[in-house]
Amino acid sequence: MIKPVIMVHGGAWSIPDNMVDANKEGVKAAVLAGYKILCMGGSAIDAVEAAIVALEDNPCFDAGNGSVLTADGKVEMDSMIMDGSNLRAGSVGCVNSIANPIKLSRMVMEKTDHVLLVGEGANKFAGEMGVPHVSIDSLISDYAKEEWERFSKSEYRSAVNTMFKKRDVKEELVNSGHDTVGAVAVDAQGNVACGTSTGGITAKRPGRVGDTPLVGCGGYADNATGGVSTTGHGEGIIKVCLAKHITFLMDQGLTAQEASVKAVENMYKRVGSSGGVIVVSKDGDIGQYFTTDRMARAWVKDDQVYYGVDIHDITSCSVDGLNHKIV
Amino acid sequence: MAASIKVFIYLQFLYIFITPSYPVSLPLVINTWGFTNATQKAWSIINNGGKTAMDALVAGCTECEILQCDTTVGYGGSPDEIGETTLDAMVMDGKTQDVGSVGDLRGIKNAIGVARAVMEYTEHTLIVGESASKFAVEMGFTNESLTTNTSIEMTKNWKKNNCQPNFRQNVTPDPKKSCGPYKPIQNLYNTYSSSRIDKNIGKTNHDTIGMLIIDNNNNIVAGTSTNGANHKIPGRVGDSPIAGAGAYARNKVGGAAATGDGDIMMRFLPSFNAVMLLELGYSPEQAALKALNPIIQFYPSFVGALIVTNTNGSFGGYF
Repeated sequence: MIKPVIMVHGGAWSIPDNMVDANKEGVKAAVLAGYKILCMGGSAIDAVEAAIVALEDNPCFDAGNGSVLTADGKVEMDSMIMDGSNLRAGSVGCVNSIANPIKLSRMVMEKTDHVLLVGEGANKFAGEMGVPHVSIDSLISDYAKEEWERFSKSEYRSAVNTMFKKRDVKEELVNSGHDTVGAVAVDAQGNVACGTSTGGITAKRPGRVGDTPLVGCGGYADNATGGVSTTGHGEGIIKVCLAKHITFLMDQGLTAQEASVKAVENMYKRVGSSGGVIVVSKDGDIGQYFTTDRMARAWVKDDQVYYGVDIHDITSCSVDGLNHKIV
Repeated sequence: MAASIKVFIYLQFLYIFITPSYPVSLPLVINTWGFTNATQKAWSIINNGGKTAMDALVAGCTECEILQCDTTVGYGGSPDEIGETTLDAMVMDGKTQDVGSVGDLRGIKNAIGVARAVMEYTEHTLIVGESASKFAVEMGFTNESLTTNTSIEMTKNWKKNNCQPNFRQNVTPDPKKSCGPYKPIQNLYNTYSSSRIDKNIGKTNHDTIGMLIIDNNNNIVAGTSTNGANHKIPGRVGDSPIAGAGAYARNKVGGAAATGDGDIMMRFLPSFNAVMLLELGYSPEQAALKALNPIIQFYPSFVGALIVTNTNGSFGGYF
């Protein structure tokens, strides 16, 4: 038996100052939603799903409600979930008209023998499985629309360069897009899980799938090492298989934190892409690192909740002190 | 000059093939299964002075798409539940780490050609479904049906046989006895069966051409192409077009390509693992073995293979 630990992120990108509070509140609420389940003896996978549902339902984040828009102004979402105890995984790419892609990913894992369903096939599967259909409009936030208007003029590369610019590169910080959400957890039985969900990058081509639903890229969970969820420039993350690289390094003996730093810096060095990761080891150690300006994240360990967006500025308080007393 | 020595290798299905690592002259073309037409085609291109390893890779795998190698590559094979053939493919450039891939590609025969176009003409790495088909047409590929009399017949027979085998679980009606439509059984999550023998996964189902090429300058490229698994759920994408799963390549280290039961393999990233192990100093056949081991531990009856080569041209495989 170990003390459960859960960590979430709301995306690694250039979060503007006027969105910092909403981001902090959002990740804090999500991590507590997941922690509640762990405290009641629930599984890591249930906790990860609950945390991500909270983030998907929050229009402040680029997943579910609040997803950014494709080049033609539509919503296409990707998501994955993975169970470290048996390495089962489920993922969806380019789905629309559902509120919680993470739930559909879990259905792919539990109701099929496949791992990844995309596009029309995935949407049909959602219908078969009784997932409620929601209007696309209900998923589009004002912010996503504004951002689309801004970036559809200058196209995809501009969105990437602005949102995922490296932290120490001095550039004028403009109000810019969102990014992916994710969660990692280890429960009292020592089972590890991870999940990631996103609307992608603004002005992406229809049909474009990023790293998020790809096992080993958007996330990875293995009871032998730990759980990882990634965020950032998806194309770069895919090229270096970021999540799997981290568990590989942990298998070689690096701590969660060492592996996080090494893998994310390697991604920038090899392919010039920025991003961030959250990691929880099988023993409950935390790892976190990002090369973007900011990354919204929160974690609960030893009944303390920690949250923040900047690299060094973290707020913490006891879980009880938040009146979210877990019974 | 290395070009005078013709070296091409293929893996046969019926016996375990572990090669001792030995260096060979370059260039090198290696691919899975007995798809020698593809190997020959790639070889002829790589030895043409004006062409690159990527040209050879795409030409070689395209050959299999045209020839419908073993019915597991290209049009007319592996129809999904509703009878449509959809294709997955990828290319990876070991020098730049660039990747181009397509999944669930419909109505376009040359999947690996489209994968290359994703890499060269977009800033993305993976495009899927109908949108991938639209992109392909924009890039000059022809929209045409991938359905043949053979694939129609396969679907008809499968339906007559109560849609067995299929890839459904924890749903009702019982997918082991009946066709759909299916509804989920709430809160039921049975432990995944460790045997997939009932799916008839093997050489004629669920296979892929995976190819690695090293040119005279030690540049390595990797690619795959497949039509996936028979009677897969519509929209299913397997391991083949996923970097690190279906294939992976990195200059100065090496490359790997996988084939077999993709729904299992894509959870273990064997190609990425193998290349990481090469970087740690393992030989190609040790890397292949170690990369597949975790899969075999979970799934003793797993069917698949991995080819691995370092950029000096030493290669190995494990099946």
